[in-house]
Amino acid sequence: MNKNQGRQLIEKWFSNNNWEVFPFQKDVWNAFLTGKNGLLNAPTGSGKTFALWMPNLIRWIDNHPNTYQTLENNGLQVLWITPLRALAKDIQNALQSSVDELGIPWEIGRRTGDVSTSIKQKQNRKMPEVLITTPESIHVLLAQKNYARHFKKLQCVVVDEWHELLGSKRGIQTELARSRLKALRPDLQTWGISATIGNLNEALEVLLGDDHSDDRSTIIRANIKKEMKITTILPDKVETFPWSGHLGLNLLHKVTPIIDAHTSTLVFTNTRGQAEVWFQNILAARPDYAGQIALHHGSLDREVRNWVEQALHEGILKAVVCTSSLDLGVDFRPVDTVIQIGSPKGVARFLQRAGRSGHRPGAVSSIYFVPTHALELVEAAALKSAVDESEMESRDPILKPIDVLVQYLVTLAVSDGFLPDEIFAEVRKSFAYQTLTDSEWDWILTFITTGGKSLGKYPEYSKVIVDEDGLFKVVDRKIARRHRMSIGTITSDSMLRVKYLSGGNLGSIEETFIASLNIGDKFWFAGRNLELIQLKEMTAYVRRAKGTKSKVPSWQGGRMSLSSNMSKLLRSTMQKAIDGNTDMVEINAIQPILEVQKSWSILPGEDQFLIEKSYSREGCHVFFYPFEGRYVHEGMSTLVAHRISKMVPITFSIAMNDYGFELLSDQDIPIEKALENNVFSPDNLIEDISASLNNSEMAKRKFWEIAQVAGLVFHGFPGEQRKTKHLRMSSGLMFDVFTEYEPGHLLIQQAFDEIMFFQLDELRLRKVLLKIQKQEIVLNQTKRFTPYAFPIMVDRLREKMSSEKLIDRVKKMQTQLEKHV
Amino acid sequence: MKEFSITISGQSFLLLAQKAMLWKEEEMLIISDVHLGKAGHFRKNGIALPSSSNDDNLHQIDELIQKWNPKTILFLGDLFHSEKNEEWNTFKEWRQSYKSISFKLVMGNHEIYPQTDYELLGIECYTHYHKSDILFVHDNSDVKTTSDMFCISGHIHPAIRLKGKGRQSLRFPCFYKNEISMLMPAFGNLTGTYSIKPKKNDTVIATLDDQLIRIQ
Repeated sequence: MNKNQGRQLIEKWFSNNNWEVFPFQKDVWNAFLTGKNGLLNAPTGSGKTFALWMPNLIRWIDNHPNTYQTLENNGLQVLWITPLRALAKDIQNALQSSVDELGIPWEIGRRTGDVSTSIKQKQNRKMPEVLITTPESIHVLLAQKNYARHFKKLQCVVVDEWHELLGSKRGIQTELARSRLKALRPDLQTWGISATIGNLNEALEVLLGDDHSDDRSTIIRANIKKEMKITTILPDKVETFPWSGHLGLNLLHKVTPIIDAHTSTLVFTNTRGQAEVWFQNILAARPDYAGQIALHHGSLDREVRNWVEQALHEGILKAVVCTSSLDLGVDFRPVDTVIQIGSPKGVARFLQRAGRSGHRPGAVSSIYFVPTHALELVEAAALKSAVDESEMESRDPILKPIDVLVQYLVTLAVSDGFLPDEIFAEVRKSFAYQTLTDSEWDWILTFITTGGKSLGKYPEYSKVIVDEDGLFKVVDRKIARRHRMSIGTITSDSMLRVKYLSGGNLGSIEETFIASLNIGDKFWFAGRNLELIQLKEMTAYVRRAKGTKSKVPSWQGGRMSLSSNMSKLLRSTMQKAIDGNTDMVEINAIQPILEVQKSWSILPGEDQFLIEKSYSREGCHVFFYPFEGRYVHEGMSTLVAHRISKMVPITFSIAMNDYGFELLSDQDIPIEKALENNVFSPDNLIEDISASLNNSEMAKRKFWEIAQVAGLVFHGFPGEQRKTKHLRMSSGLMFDVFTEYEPGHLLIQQAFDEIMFFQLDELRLRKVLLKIQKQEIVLNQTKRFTPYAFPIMVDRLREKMSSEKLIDRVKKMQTQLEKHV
Repeated sequence: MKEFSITISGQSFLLLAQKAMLWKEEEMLIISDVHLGKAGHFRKNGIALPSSSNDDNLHQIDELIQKWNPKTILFLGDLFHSEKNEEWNTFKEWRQSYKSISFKLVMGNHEIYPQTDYELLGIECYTHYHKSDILFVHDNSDVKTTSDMFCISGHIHPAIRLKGKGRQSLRFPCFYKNEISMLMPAFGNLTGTYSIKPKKNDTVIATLDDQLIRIQ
C-alpha cells in the first residue's frame, strides 16, 4: 500500500468520469489533509462541493487502506450544514453517488425540517456517516437527551454557503453549535464555503472563533471569473415612462420576447406581491404560455415549490417568476437567461442572480435589467460598471445577540442540562460572544431560571432549574416540549394557511392581509384568482374565482435598502452623467428627465448635497437627497426630524426611498434655521437617535422578533394554534410593559442595538454625516415636485414624529376641519 | 378640561378624563370594559406579560374612588377577560378593601366567570340595569330599538379618528352620544379600540391622556 492511495483513487475516479481536478480543489485537499481549518471562496456550480468532500474520503481511505470498502456503521464522520433545505437533497445525491461508485459503504443522510419522523428516529438509533442539515436542525439535535453520543466519531464540519448565514441569527446558531461540538471533539476540523463577499477574512474569523490563527487556518480562492452579459431594457419613450412606481409592467411587452428567445428564463422580482402580479400579467399577455410558466415564492406551499424546482431542473418550464426564494438552491442547468425586474439593490445580489443562468463552468451568464421607474435607469448603468470593477458588499456579523443565547441555553437545559462555567467558557470562544461579560451572563442565567425581574412571579417563565450538582436543566416536560417546537430564529407575522375548500394546500399568507378582506372578496395568490369562502382555525378556505377586480396581497419585509457599495456606484454614475462624460445607453435614455430635474432644481454632483423645499395643499415639504439607501435615510430622517422638533413644536410625516427622504408638515419647516444650527452634525448622534427611537414602532417590531427567539412568545403546538386576532397588539404591549417595569432589560437593549447597527446602520450614517459636512449644501425652493422628489412624495408608508402637545394638535386639526366644511 | 357635564333624562352626569363617568344624583361611578386578567390571558396564550397593567387598572379605580367618594360602582361589562388566573385573587382582595361601597356588574360577553363567583364577592349582577328611565347594558345591539329608555353601554371601545393637513391623523378613545344612547370608552389599559363614524348632531368627547376635549 502506498501512502498516497486515497488521493490516487479519487483522482482516478475523477478521470474515469472525464473530469479534471481544478487547481483550487487540489489546494483545498492539501490544506485539509494537513489538518487546517479554512474557508473556500468559490461560486456555485464550480465544483466546490467536491473540493471539500473528497479530502474527507481521501483521509478515510488512507486511514483504512484495506478495509475502507467493507467497514460499515462507522458513526457520524462529517456534518454538512447548509442554509437551505432545497440544497440538501442535491448535495445528498452528489455525495451518495460518489461513495457508491467508489465502493465505500457510507450512508449519506439528510436531517432537515421536511425529513420524516421515522427517518429521524432511524438516525437517532444509528447515525449515517454524513449528515446534511440546517442550523436549526442541529439545535433540535442538541435538545435531545444524550445527544453527545451522536458526535463521538465526528471529524469535520462543513458549512456551505456561509455568506448566507453570516450576518444572520442562523449564523449565530451555527457558531454556537460549533462551539459545543468543538468541546465534545477537540480535534474537530471546520471548513466554510462562501461566495465572494467584501469581508472574507472576517467571515473566516467568525466561522472559527478563537480557533482562528494565521498558521492553522487558511482562505482558498477559486478565482473563477464568470463571463457576464448585461442588457438593460429601455423604454421606447422616456418622456412617458413613469417617475415612480415599483411594478415595472410598462415594459412587459419587451419582456415576453426575451422569454420566447430563450429555452428557460428566471424572472426575479423583489417582492412576493410583485411576483404574483407579473405572473398574472405575463399569462394575460401570452395565454399560450399556460402550463409552461410557473410561480415560485416563499409563501407558496412547499410541495408546489418542490414541483417547480424539479420542473426547472428537468427543463420543462419556459419561465419561472420568482423572488429571492430562488437566489440559492438547486442547480438549474436548463436556465439560459435571467430577467431582473426593478433594482436589485446590491451588486452581489445582481451577480448572484445573473449567475443562475449559464450554470456550467465556462458558460456565459446573461441577465436583463427591467427598470420600474425612470431613475432606475441610472442604477442600471451603475450596475453595468460594477461588474467590471467588481467590488463586493460585506456581510457584517451580528455581535452578542442575547435572544439566540437564551434559546441555546434552554436547548442545552432541555437535553442533558449544562454547567454554567463550562458553557460560558465555550460560548466566549465563539466570535459572536467573545465580549460577553460576567454580568450579562448572570443576567441571562437569572432570566432563564426566574423570568427576570418583570416575570419573576410567574412559574411558566422559570423554565430552567438548578439541581444540587449545579446543573441547569429543564424538568417540566411541557416546557421542554414547547421549547423543542420553537427552536429557530426566523420570525414572521402570524400566517394563515390558504386551502381550497375541496382540499389542497396553496401556501400561507400574512394574517394582516386576510384581515383586510371580507368573505366573498377576491384576491390573487399562487398565480390563481381566488375567492375567500371562510376563515376557520388559522386557515383561509378559498375557491377559484373569475373576474378582474382582485386584490394582490402585499407582504411585508420586501423593502430592501441599497447597499453602500451600490449607492457609491450610483453617485459616481450620476456624476459622469452630469459631466457628460459617458455614452452609456441608459444615461442617454434618461437624459430628458435629468434635464427636467436640472431646470427645476439642480442635478447634485458628488460634492453637493441637495435639499428641496416646496409647498402644496398638504403643507410644507422638504426633500433631502443623500442617495444612501432606505436604511440610512430612515435613521437620518429621524435624526433631522428630531433635531428640528427640538427647535419648534412641530409634527412630521416622514417618507423615504433609496435616493432620499421627505419631511412633511402642516406648518412651515424651518430648514433654513436648522441648517444654520448644523442639523447634520455627527455630534450627539447616538443620543439624538435614541431619544427619537424611544417608543417608536421600529423598536417595538424589533423587540417582537427578539421576544420570539428568546422564547417569550409561543406560537402553539401544531394543530392547536391559537386565535391570534386579539393577541396581535401584544407586540407593542410587551415592549411598553418591559421598558416601564424593567429598564435595563437586556432584550430591550438588544432591540435598540439591532436597530442602531443593522436597521439604521449607525456606522454608515455617521460616515454620511461626516461626508455632508464637506459637501456644498444646496437649498432650492421648487415650484413643483421634481423628478427626484416625486417618487418619495407619493409613498404612502410613512413614519410619524411630533413634538407638539397632543391637545394643540387636536385643536389645530379641529380648526382645519372647520375650514374644510 | 378634566370633566364634562351632560344631562340625560333629567339626571346630571360628569364625564371624566379617566374614561369613567359619575352619576351625580346617585353618587354612582360608572366604568366599562376594564378587561382585568388580560395579562394572565396573554401569558396563558404564550405571550410573556407581567401583571403590572392589571394592578395599574385597579390603582386608577382607587384614585377615582378617593376623589369622588361614590356610594356605588357600576361596571358595564367585560370586567374580567377570560380564564380564571391569579389576577382574580388580586381583584378579590381589592374588592374586600371597599366594604362600604356597593358594586354592581352588568354582565358582558367576555365575562366567562359565572354570576355566582361575583355574587360571592358581594357584587350584584345584572343582564341589564335600569334606573330613572336610563338603561345600562354591556352591548347595545342586544337592546331592541323600540325601547324608549336612554341606553348607556360599552362593549365596542369607541374611538374617534381626527385628520389634519400634512397627512396627520390621530385616534383617541371617546364618549359617543346621540339622542337615544351613549357609548362609553373602554377603561382597561390593555384594550384595543374601534373607530366610530359620528353623524352630524352627535356628541363626541375624546379622552387624551388626562384631558377631555369636545370634538363635536
